[in-house]
Amino acid sequence: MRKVALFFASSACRAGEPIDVKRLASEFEDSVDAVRVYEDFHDSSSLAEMTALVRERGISAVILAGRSPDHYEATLGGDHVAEELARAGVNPNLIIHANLAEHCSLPHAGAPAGVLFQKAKALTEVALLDARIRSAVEIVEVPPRRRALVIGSGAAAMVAAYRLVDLGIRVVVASASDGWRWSDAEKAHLAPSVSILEGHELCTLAFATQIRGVTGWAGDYETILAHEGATRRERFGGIIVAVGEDCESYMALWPLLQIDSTRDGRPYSRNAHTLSVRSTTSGVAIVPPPRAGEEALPRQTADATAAVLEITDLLNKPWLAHRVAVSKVDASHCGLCRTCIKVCAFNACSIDEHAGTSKVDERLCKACGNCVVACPAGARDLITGPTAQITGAIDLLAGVKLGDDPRVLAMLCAGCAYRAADTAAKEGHSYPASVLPLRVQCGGRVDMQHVLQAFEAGFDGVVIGTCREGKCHNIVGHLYLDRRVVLLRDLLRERGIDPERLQIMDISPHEGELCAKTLADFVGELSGAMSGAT
Amino acid sequence: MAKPKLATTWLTGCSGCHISLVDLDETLLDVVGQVEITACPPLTDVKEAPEVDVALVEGAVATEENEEVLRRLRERAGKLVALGTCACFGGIPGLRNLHPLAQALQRAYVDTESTVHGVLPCSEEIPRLQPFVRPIDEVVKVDGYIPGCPPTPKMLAQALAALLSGQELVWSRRNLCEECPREHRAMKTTDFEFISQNVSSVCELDEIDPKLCFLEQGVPCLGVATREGCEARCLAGNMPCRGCMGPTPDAKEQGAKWVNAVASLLPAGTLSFLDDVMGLGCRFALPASLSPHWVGKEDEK
Repeated sequence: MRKVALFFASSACRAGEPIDVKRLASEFEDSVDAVRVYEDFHDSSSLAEMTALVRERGISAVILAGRSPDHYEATLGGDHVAEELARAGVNPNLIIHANLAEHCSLPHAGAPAGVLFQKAKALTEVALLDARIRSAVEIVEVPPRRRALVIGSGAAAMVAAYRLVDLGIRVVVASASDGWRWSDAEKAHLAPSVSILEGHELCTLAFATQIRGVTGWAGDYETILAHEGATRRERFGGIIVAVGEDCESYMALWPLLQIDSTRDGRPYSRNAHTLSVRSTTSGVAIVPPPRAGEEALPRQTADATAAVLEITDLLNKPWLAHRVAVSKVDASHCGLCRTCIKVCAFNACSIDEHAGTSKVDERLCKACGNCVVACPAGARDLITGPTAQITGAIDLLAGVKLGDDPRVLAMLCAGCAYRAADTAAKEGHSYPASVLPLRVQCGGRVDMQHVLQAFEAGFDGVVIGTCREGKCHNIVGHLYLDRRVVLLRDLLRERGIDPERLQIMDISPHEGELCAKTLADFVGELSGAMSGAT
Repeated sequence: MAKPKLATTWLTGCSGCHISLVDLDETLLDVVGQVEITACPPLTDVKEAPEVDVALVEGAVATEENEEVLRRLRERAGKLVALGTCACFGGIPGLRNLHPLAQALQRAYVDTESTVHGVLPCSEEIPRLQPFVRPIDEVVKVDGYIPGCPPTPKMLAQALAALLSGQELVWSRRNLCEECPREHRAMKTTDFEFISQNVSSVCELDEIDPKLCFLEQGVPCLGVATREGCEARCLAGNMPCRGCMGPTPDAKEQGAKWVNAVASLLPAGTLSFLDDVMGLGCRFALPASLSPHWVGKEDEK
């Protein structure tokens, strides 16, 4: 059997209401190969001990029971822990997070200690199940193309392009406008750099150009650029979006790049404090527009420079690692119904006529799992979130008793809803502890069979958390979830399961307060319905 | 060498699977030559089969008598095989699971429009209905399955040949599209306008193209979420699949699995006219599904 190590971060267990982490750790001593409690994972001494343990004992899966996975990915240097563990020999897909802070300690102010302890234990057990079930992911190493695309025509775009060519990186500046757009004051400051840029051999200015398509991944994006009716394909290692305050541009770019934005139309930074130029899409940096009251040019220049650093950091690496997230199609199951082709928003599925089966182009695949759900024959699985893990977790969570509140399974999409729940916790909003979270890749990854399973297993309610309309990171995941749920409601009603017990929560990552309120209200409604019925 | 002994029985079903056996035509003579048929409701009047090598069971378990007959046959049979969709998945009789038993009886014996002065049956001699219909593998161990409503004579001939030579019965694993002769056009590419702009529904079609995939024309077809093996004869006859072969191997619920797929395949207009998803998706396999029966309150239906 696979060797599993379980590491707790006690700081995460103290983030809000305290969880007795020593006792929690002792509960797992017999079920894993090593259990350790650290103050935090990223202290050099803890990290050294963790990696040494992994090497000495031949550990192949690691559970990090601490903060949200998003917390580590979206903090400057936060991904260092995962990188070091991977270097020690743990496959990236077998580094599994149990979110004891944002999903347990933080958002349940006033919950009894016993309830929180049970919840923390359940979340750790779900991670352990995941660690046993998941398979290692195949890594494709792609040498990044030392070419960058800068989208925009203002001062920020110009500064970014200037910096890039200065660092020896070939740049295309693409914009729908006919030329540079800036104020006279900006022009006065930037005049020398413009003339250098315009004559530079590494720079191509593509004004009056529309971006029609972007496919691929960080290090190798293929774009379709359209100019005066003619289109051409160009490939870039990284992309900088510097369209300033132009909300329409963000909307137009959404289907191509899926950069989140906040309600006021600003691009959503991965971390507003330390990673303000990192977008939610890997290999795409953003230059946020200046806020009201800020002096525009210095801020834009600084952010453009930071965005250039973000991209060159990627392009200077010898290779970038990508995970092949979807399994090979099982030809003995595939009946060539072509459902996968129809559901994929990224054109990643096609039929291999020679082999007589469907196939997936991993370069185009964004690992949303929509095709896994839609495939009527069960011919494929998502390696980064296998079906057996979801069904196992639902059964496991259904068996957890947390006080008298109605129990709710919250299937939260990794793109938006999971982040919204994180935001809720970080901003100090509360909801009942009987909401049990389960991270899924996308709303489109939610199989209607899993919803039925949750009700059958004893959940009082199910929430499916997805992106806001038009903001799905996988373009159609949200749409297909909606359509599936409309049909599912009939299957629930006919069986005597009140369709109101299933709720879709569409939400954006920054809407923490709304997320907490939606969850709390839903538990309240269920509670009312249940007491009214008895 | 003695001929292997074969017994068949029927529980709650329609006898259609036995009729399909007779449809083997002259092949039946070969079968009769190879086996000794000890008990077979349409042919013999044997109440209880002796010990046999192979038993074929048609029908679902819906009454106390069904359960007893099945258990006794299991004790006497070397191999017991589920014959037809009712035995495999519950089938059409299983749709009663959507109603509390008392209401189903009330409807059937009293409330039906053609009934005058109806009464609920109360004789001690009539086997009592169990609360819910079950596939036979929820009651006894089953060694093989021959799905279909009814299974085609060809499937039966193959299954019998395998059983009599001591081989295991093999389930097919793919969905019916594998066998379906109809063409794909729109489904060859990703095109989201198809599902949002094309609002045609079956009631707006003047005619159904006999060569084109039903789903592409906006006609609900269960083929995508149905096991192959029947040779898609309905589809060749310009009738959409109703799903009688039961769910694909990895599916736990044929209706929900169908929903997963068709929500992204059928045009919006068709989806908005689908008013009986349960009847379409779970017609044949409800008792074998994830949530096999009514779970609400008695009086809410």
